Amino acid sequence: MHPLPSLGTDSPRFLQGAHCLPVTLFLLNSQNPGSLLTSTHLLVVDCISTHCRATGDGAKSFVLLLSALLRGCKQTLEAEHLGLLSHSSSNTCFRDKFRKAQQKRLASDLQAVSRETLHEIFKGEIPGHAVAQDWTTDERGRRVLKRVLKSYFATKVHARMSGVLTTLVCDFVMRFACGLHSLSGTVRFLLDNHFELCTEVLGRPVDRSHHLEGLVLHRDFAVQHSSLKDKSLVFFVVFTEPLLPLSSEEHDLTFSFSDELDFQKCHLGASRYVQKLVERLVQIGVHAVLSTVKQIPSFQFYLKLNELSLVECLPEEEGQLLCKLANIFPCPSLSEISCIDCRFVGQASSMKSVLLGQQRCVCLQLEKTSEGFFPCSLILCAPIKGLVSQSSAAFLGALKTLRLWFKTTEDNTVVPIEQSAANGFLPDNMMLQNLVGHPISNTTLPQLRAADTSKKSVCLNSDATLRSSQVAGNAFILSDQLEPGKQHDLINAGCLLPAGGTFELLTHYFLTSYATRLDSDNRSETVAYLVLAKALLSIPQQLLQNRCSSQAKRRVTLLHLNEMITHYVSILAVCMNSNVLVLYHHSLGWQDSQDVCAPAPELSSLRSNLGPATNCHSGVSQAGQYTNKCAVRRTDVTLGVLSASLSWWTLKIPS
Amino acid sequence: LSRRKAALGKLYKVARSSYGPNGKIKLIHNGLGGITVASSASQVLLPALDRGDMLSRFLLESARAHVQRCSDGGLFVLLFSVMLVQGCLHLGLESIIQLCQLCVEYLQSDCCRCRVQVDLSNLEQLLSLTRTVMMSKPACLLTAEEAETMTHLVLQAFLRTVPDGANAGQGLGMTVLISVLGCGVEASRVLPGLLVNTTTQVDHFASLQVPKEFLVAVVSTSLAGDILEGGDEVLSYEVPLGMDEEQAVLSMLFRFGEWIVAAGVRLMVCQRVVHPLLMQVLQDKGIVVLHRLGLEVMDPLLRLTGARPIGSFFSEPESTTYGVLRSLEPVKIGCKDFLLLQTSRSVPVCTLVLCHRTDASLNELKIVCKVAEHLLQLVLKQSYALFGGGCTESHLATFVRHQVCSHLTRWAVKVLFAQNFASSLENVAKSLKPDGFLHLVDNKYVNNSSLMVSTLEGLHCACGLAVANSNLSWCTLGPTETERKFEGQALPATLPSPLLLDSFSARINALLVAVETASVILETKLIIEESHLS
Repeated sequence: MHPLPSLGTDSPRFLQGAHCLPVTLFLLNSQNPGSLLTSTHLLVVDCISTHCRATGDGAKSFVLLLSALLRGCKQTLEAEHLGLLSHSSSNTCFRDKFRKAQQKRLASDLQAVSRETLHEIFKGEIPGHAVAQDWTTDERGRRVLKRVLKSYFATKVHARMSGVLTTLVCDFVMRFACGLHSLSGTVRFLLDNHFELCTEVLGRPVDRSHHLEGLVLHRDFAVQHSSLKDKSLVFFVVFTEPLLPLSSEEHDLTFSFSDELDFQKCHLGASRYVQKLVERLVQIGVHAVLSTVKQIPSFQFYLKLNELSLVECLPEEEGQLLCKLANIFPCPSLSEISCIDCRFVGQASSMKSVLLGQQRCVCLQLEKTSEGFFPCSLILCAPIKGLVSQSSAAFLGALKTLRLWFKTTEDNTVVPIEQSAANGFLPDNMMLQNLVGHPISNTTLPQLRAADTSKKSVCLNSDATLRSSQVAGNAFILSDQLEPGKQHDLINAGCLLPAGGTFELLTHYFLTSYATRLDSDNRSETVAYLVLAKALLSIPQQLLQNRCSSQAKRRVTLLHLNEMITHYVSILAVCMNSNVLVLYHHSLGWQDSQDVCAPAPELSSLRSNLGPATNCHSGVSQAGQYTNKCAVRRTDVTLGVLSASLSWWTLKIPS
Repeated sequence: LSRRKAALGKLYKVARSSYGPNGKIKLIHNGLGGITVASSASQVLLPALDRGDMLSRFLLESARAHVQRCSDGGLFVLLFSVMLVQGCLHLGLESIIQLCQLCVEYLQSDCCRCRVQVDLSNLEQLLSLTRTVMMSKPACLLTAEEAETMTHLVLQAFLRTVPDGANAGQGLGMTVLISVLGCGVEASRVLPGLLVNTTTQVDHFASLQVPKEFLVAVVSTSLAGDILEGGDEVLSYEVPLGMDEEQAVLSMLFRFGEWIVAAGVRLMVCQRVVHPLLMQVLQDKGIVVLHRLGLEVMDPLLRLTGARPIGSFFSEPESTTYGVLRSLEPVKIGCKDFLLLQTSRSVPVCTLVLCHRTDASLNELKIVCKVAEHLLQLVLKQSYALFGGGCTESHLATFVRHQVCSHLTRWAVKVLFAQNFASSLENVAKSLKPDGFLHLVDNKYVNNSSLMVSTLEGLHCACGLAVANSNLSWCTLGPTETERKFEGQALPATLPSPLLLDSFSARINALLVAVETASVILETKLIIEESHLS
């Protein structure tokens, strides 16, 4: 924990005045922002951290948007301030008051935009440009999943690892999905058991990553009997508590003895209890004992004596998962021995020792689970710890992203839309290919659509109906039925937008259009619209800049940003390597904008954020966490983001 | 760019000057008052080099992970990845993976002419593989004869760990390494069975009359009279005033001793401590007691004796828990006393005694023997070996140049980039010789050779395959103006001897890891390091 710097003598005043302001203007308002820099970093980092924990993605977009928004606010206020200086002869005091009033107004306008207009855009306009996807567990679903994962991993790990991870994770997810018959259920299951199902191996090339049949228990045998590997069916029990040498009803570990004989009797009794227990295990056909705790030496001894194998000190989560998959209860350690019966005995096809990197583990190949799948483990290889941890973190992030995807699918209703010009533009592979080199004219630009409730002609409530309807040739978007007083997800789950800044470009386009429709009296509101719209462009702009440094340089540099906005679809095609439709979950984009535009609730907890308990290390993305741990990472955003703090120039805070 | 080059330059110097049999020994001191270590082995160098910038640490960690897995080739990983990075930095980001895959596919194909199929019944090939490792570390301070002796001993020890037909399903056995300081290397030997250190005078054992075969009890629990252990839980006991719980436990220990005596056991071995009174009682009954053996010895001991460890002294051990030994022989090596345990059964357990006069050399010798043993084990998995001495690297470099020039469109790799890749491989080969040597390749097997004199008479390639004769022509190693032919002859049916051979599995893994590490560094746009807020 790093010591926090003092806030300076004038900081309380800023804090008092900051309650009603968004964080952006709070920074601008500060007369001595340097002293607050660290605490501001913590606040921003905390925002990013929260966002990443929820979505598994979007940290860099968040920083870029925030940075651009801050820049935009500052420029706007400075322009207005300069105007005041040239047209007014007012004194300094008046100008300060005017500046503060302007700041407050801009802050409230931005909040209003984020609360109302963005809401409307995400609800009414964006979905018209999204493509509903078929999330089945067949080959079609696999293709969609693979494209989504490819898009995700391309920004998280280095190029070589990205390709390997995409195929590997896609196959891994689909293996479970085929048994569970649901992608959403699979993602939930994998997310809950990510650490148990994923094993990191060092010192091997990335492409040696593979699936391993069975569950990898991250411990070696404490006792291994040679006959175990020859068995075609292995029966096992799981212990989650230590076998105490002396039984005690209330787990009181203090024992009283009246004399030496009593002392000896107790010890002998304990030994006999363990002996009887092991004999009972043999009697019910158990071959192996798995324990999440360290067991007493005499237990090991009797297990060896009776040719049973033992794996102890397993992580608790692995024990729980094992019980869940094998559909058994953990063995009670302090009970009547005769109570231990087949309810506590699981069965597996094999149990063997495997060498994964330097670690010797046990691989337990379970029988088909009650859910209908054969559990398998994901073995991730890389030359060093940092890279393999990065792969693992990227896998976790991908699962989080996928979880968001399926979050509301089961709750929402589905509305079919017609793929017509009146319904907005739905880009597909063929159209994007055709558009490369032939920018569309202004006349074919998507028209603003009002929220069209008349289209809700068919309401479907389940994935199965969605799938059957899509097979029939209809395309769907998902839409929730708005009810007063009910919290709705504005963006419908299951829909996709092309990657490469599409979401930001669309939002920019609609914000600008809304701004032009406002009355001339609402000038300040128009400014807020334009500031936000301009900030949104930073994402596609940065993507373009990064891309210009590589092979697409010639094609992309010819296109000016303004043209890009006008002909966004054609630019997207260029951005997407001309003929590859990379998909993007637009609810993530929405999450980014919402978080950046409405940080006011975070501000109310500013004081607590300044407390010494705040962990500044928690506020980094997966890649950031990786850099903390080990070595180097590839980044496609050339920002000076230190792992735990955003640098001064990144935020462009006036000094 | 320049900072990265400078950072890598230091690593390059260390790795290059330590690489191969002509590498220079490094003196390493950790700065915390530890001992000074002299070594050129990657197992010692890589952890010691863990200082410096992030890029260096990244490279070092990569090499270290490879060494932990394959034992050999750590400096190769370091050297090759540094050369790739330095050679390709100014070219920008390109995929070197494609070239690496090209090499790996070639090495794994049947048309590869720089690998040999290792015949496990051919001792000469196994000796070549072991000899290459033994001679690669100058810090061992071995003369040619000593190196040859050690090569034979290591191979002998390895072959003793291979189970015979009857025990084929048991897997490989174990070689226990015992190092003795103060004797010459010639005192090193391989002993069948297990040699255990003993604090008791060996004369005591010499006077013992033991039968031809006798029972052995192996105890894994403490017999020191401790009160019960509770696993993860801490147990506490309440005893009435005046009660001696130690006496209570001791009486149970004596009862356990009676069981041991009654069973006819002649040797009791305990992993932990035996209570002195119990030890005295047992010795009085003519039982040899060895204690404080530690966990490492337990596995080979159990395998040797066929015993099952006794984990509790509260109940009488079953007769099946006892093992059997044939002899108990006191051995004195230097000033150390040992006891050699041998069995009449065919058990793949043996002891390799390593002797040397200096501590540093002994440590280096121990490392080298472990590496050699591991590489021999790897040969059992993939029975191939690559030509050593830089011949594989120069062969691959020529292959890459030839392939990329011939099939440019197929591989879609820039010529310049391929040239850099090939040059990096050649530089690794050149690193095996000090500066000033002229490096040549032959036209027949495209193997590497180096010389300082101007005559080609008696010249042979580094691995020993190509020997100068009238049919063999040589040209300088490196890029040529005209494309070098790569359609030499197939390998001869009978390979010359001695050859320098490298482990196939270890070298392939090293190649892949080095290229992958370099590609990550080449892809890196920004280095982010945690900085503490002041």
